[in-house]
Amino acid sequence: MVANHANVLSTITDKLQSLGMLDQSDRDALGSLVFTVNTAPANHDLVKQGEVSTDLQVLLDGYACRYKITAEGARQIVSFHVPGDILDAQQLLLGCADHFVQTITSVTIGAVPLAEFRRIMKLRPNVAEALWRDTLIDASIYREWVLNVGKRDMTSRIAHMLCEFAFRRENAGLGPPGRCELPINQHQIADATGLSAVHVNRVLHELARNGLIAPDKPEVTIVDWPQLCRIGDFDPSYLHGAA
Amino acid sequence: MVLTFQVVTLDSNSPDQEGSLVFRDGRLLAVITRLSDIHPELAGRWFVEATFGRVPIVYPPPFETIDEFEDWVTNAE
Repeated sequence: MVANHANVLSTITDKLQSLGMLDQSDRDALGSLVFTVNTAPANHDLVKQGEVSTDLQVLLDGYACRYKITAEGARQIVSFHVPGDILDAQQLLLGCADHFVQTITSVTIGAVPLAEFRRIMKLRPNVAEALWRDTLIDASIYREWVLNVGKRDMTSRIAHMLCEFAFRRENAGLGPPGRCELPINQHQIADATGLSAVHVNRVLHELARNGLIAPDKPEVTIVDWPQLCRIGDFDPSYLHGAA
Repeated sequence: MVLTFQVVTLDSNSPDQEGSLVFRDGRLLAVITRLSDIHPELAGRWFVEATFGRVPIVYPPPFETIDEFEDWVTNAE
């Protein structure tokens, strides 16, 4: 996607519109936002734990994740992000970042000064409500991830994670989940599911053997979407139609 | 500390079937598996499936030799 002024603003406005009822005045206020457009390569930390940011970052193109890391160096991916997502909304009201945000692919980012966004939130209650809703949906996704990592077996856990990624990718307008290729590798799946890369590789082979994903691909390609949803116990209602 | 090994066949629902129970001073300490060729870059290495006593939150990378695994057990104390 070529990031020009119009489509950067429409990405932000469309995302907030999907989260709440914006009127024309709200859209005009969002249209007045000042921003910069940045690019970053894959596997690049956009936000580092402990840092204070001056900008709100909106993912315009590509994929990213949030992660935390233990003192021993073990990494847990806590969420995946698709175009349209606000990557660090917590910076609006909290201080320094309590986690990392990293790119999965090369990305294009729209960076809006936090002060600008705070000003619009105070002036436009509909915008503030949409951001509140975004935060609540974030919390819902985290609840589902706790359930996934804590209580689903390896196969179901990985299937659920793949389903969520594919479903959210479709919601971002990037094509239907059946026969779609997901740009995540086995190490990223392992970090998102609390499993080793060896266990992930075994499960992906099992899913391929059963015809749910394509065999021998570096990236996951879903072949049988309905069956993958069934195995993954995937019910998208926790995404509340807007994530 | 004396480590002893007992060869076993794993039911792992994958081609990774060749494994070993590892005993420390006669008590079961770990289960390790020799990785099959479904893991192109790791085939032939020893993967720690499970440990008892000290549970590794960070999975150690699969070991090239049993000696390397023994060093890891010794240093994990």
